[in-house]
Amino acid sequence: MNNTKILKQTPSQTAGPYLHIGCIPHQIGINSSYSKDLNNLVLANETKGSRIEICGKIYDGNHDVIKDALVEIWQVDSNGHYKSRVHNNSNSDPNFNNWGRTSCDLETGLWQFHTIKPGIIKLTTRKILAPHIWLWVVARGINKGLFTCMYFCDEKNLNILDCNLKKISNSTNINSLIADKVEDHKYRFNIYLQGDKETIFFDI
Amino acid sequence: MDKKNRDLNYSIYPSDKNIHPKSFTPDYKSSILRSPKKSPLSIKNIISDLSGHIFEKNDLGSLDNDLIKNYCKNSEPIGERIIIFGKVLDENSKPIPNSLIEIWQANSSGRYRHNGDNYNAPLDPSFGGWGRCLTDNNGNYFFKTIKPGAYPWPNGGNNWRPAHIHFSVFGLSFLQRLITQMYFEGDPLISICPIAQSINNKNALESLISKLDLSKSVHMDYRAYKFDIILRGEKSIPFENRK
Repeated sequence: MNNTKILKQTPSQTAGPYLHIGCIPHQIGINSSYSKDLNNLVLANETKGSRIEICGKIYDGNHDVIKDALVEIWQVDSNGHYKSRVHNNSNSDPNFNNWGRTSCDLETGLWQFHTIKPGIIKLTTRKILAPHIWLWVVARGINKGLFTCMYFCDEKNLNILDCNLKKISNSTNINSLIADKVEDHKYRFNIYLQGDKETIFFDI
Repeated sequence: MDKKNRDLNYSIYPSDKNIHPKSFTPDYKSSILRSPKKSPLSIKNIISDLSGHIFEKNDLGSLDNDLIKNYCKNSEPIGERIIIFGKVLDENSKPIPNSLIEIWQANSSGRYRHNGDNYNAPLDPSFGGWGRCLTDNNGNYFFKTIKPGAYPWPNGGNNWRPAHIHFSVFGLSFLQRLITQMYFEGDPLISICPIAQSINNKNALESLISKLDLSKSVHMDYRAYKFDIILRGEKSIPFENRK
């Protein structure tokens, strides 16, 4: 089969400081004409799995908190399934949406999601991915959306087996991918764009 | 070949480093402290990355793609009436149906309806400046809107943004997620804008500039600009591996 590409990708540009009006107007109190934001729709009462809260702040090179970013998440349900055009959907939780987004709080910079602890992904009988949540961050000053991946500090035994973490086990700051547990069912995942703690970002 | 193995071979072309802007582009001052210093790590994408959120038609309202009408109060917004249209395709030229596109923009005088925008130019009571739609089965989309105005912005000098519309595009996979900006043919501000010029590739920047297309204009009402959006394409699986 021919793998020749025909067209060139459209280049990215920064989302700028006003992304809220396009993506999540209601969340920041804009009297939008949209009936609802398409955003934080992760959970329903019937959703299976252990409820968790994930939150964090994003820091720039001066260690100042960024308050105008948008964060999107992408994760499997409690049994390790995405709803997908690629997968057979029959195993996925019909009451879980895999995707969510939110803006940082304009005053504090805190972002947070109420979701469920993602399950283990079994790639083959031997290969697994530990519970993890992909994040995508855009903001003024970020020319192209940044992908990073959040793992859980209380899943050490699974993190060791994770196919992605194994590939990058020699990287410095690999701990930047592990969320802290701040209380029961609540995890904190701060993102550092620069500096000693610079978060690992991925070209996936 | 069983379903599971086929899915594992499913893959997508990488993000093109020759096309997208680098993260550190110091002429655009905000990028200086917000650009990671290390290159992103490449990991071969695997099944878990190649799916994406599926939006439904009834998530959207009937006027969501009509910025002339979707915030209209008593009279329609002031400015040049335009249609923006095009296709969402992947690199293999395959149309992408059911892709959510969200746009946001300044009004005709260059002012955003956002608390963060303090520009002297007035708000238009009839213009919100946001729209969204899903692409049809052939990847087509369109918006009706007002041509946005240019505006000054703080970047350490006499900086003016060229007229532009922000685009957020989902595609079918989380890996195709894209936010970009669309410009207008003939705008002299494009060549001196640090944000547009963060793209260090003439053809790539050219692909963000919409082209006037009078054939799609509406007689005595709207003129039309064409803007196609190309997302990362699926790699085909070589036939010999399909055993």
